[in-house]
Amino acid sequence: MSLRVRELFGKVRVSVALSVCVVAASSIASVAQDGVSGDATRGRSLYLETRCYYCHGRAGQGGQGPTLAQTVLPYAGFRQIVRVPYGAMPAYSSKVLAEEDLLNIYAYVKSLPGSRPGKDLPAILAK
Amino acid sequence: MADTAEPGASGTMGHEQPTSSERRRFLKGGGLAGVAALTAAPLAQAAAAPATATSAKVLPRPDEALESGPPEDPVIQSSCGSDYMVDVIKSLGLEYITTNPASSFRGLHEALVNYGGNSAPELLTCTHEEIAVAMGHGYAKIEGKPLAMMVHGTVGLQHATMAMYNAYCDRAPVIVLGGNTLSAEVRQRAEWVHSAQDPGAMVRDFVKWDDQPHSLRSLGESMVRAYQIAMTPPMGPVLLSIDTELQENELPGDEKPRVPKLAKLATPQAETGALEQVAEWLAKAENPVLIADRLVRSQEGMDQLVALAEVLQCAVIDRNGRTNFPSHHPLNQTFRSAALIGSADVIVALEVNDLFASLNSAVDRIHRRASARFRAQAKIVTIGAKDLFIKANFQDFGRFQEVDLAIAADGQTTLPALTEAVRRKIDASQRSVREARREKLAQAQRESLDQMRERATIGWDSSPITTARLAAELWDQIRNDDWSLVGEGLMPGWRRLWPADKVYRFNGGSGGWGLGYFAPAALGAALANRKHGRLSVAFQGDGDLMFAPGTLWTAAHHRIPILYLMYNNRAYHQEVMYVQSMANRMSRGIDRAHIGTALDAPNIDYAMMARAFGVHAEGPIDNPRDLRGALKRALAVVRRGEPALVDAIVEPR
Repeated sequence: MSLRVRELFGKVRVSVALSVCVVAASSIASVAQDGVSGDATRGRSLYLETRCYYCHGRAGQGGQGPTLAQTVLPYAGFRQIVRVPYGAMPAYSSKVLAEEDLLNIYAYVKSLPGSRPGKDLPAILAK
Repeated sequence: MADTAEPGASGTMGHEQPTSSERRRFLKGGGLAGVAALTAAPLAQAAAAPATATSAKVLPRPDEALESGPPEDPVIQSSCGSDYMVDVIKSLGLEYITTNPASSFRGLHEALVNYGGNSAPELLTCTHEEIAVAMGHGYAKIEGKPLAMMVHGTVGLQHATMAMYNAYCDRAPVIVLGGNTLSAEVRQRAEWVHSAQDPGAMVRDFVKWDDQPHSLRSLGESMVRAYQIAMTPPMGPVLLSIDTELQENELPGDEKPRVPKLAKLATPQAETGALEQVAEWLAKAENPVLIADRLVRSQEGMDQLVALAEVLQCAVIDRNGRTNFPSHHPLNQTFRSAALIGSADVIVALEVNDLFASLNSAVDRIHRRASARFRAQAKIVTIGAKDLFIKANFQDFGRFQEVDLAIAADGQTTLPALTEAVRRKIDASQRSVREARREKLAQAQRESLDQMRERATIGWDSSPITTARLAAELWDQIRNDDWSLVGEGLMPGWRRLWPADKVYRFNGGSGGWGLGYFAPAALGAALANRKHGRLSVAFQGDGDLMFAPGTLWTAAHHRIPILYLMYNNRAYHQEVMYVQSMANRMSRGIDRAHIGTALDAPNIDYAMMARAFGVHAEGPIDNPRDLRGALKRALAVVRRGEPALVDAIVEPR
């Protein structure tokens, strides 16, 4: 699925410039920048309440949707995908998911442990 | 569909008058001669005596014979049409007939178990006709030949329809035998609602052929014809409606018609000139890509596809309608199909039903749109039997895709000739270029598998169990077996980590995406695997199992070894996402998307359900650390020839 993420990133790269412009013009420009932090604890509750885990897993491992744990997406790209998703993902407008909540969710998925490196794989996953 | 008998409906007509048809049968059977026989010997002796041309073939009841004068209601006969039907069925080499018992084929049922000895074919009892047909569907994809199933008149056939549609979409041969009472004169009570003038009309849009023969001779011919049609690419279901009178009445003249010869079937290969053109394009291509879907039906076919790919050293995208190509072969590039299609200069689609979906990306949004993934100048070729047989009503043929060359032929049959044509045209001096292409593809595959293994570790110990952990735990315990994944409702595709190197490692999906397929089709596949000594395992979705839970009883009753590992996410999660999409489109939020989609409150205890059907069961298990022991115990049961189920509570996706 990581390749799928890469494909997604390809789309994101195209749209990031646009989304940055959109974000800059919006009322939440102050939070839509990398480096700002949300509340990961609150984000966890929101992640579950808004059923992100249905497709991305409780650990952000991915499934029907791409992996989110330790996402390398910048917030602007993350926001763009949530608001105007590509593919089958439902579109979460600010009416159903507030900007602050989205930032908290972003903080949560950034905080999730990512994958273990190859040398630390569980034995049953070894080749 | 078992009959729901009305009070007083069983037995004879009682005070009712025999129909003219019954009288004819009696007279043809030599009823008066039977009187003499009965008065001269006890009934049992008369019944056991060999029939002669002039002896009694039907005998009256003793009370009537002794007290009422000439009998008019015989109760014993010496031959029946069903025996001949059994001869024909045996000539086709059918190993099993799946069925739910019913009156409209009671004659054939009896003949199969007594005259036919319940062997080749053996009757398998199912609790629903959808199970019976789906078992045949799964069996055919492993064994390469069909089963037959008996369904009851109008009602059983309607129960069977969804499974027949799946088989039709998936190009799987099944032979459906439907009971029907043609003569209005002889129908009694429920037979009226269970009979139809034209039963085939119900399913004619999604069977390859149907017939309702009016004589035994034509029935024999139609049965052999049905087999040949079902097994000729594109393969598919056929329906034979069998009259109850033909089954139950005596043989005309006490002689069976000859059993027609089943021809050895030769499948159609592509036209030579067209193959030369394809070979020319492939040989000169920089980035050729092969796409295979329902292509391979034997190990020979898989080996032939490998041979073609290795001559070209080109990428293969396996859409997994069957296991067409070894999953860990360096040229298997299924994991990045979109990118490869985007860079391909020649694309050859082999038995791909919905090529448009493979070559275009579609976005399910307010404005539905599709955009091409392929280069405008790419040469696109289709080779497949689809164009040999398409029907109008059901839209399973998919959106029209423009191509450069459409070759109507059987894909597997065509592979050797195509490979030879490519060999003749390929530039030997470019071998190093092709080797470099192979290495590049192999490297991409190695990296992808490594990334996948690493990604599988995310949430490794979390509860509910991740789909990756579920797949890894099972794989660890079957990796040294001759395994066969006969059902896969595990959406994220973790089976890619399992090296599928044989055609029977995975047998594809339902075709029509109709739920109620996986559990019974997996059982049918396990039935086929049983005699080969393979270990059959299935990831079983909870939603699918609830369509056909009686499958578990059939597994236990007929001792078919299979492990059902439940992928129990307690919802119809595909549909959850759809409702979420609709809700967010309306900016209403997704809080209520679980309504109508969740399978909880109460949670379904699949282990308890399995035990009720006589199946060994473990669970429910939501701690991944408990999986190993449960799987070990369950697999021990399966390895000794019994079914087992492990209920794992798993992440939604």
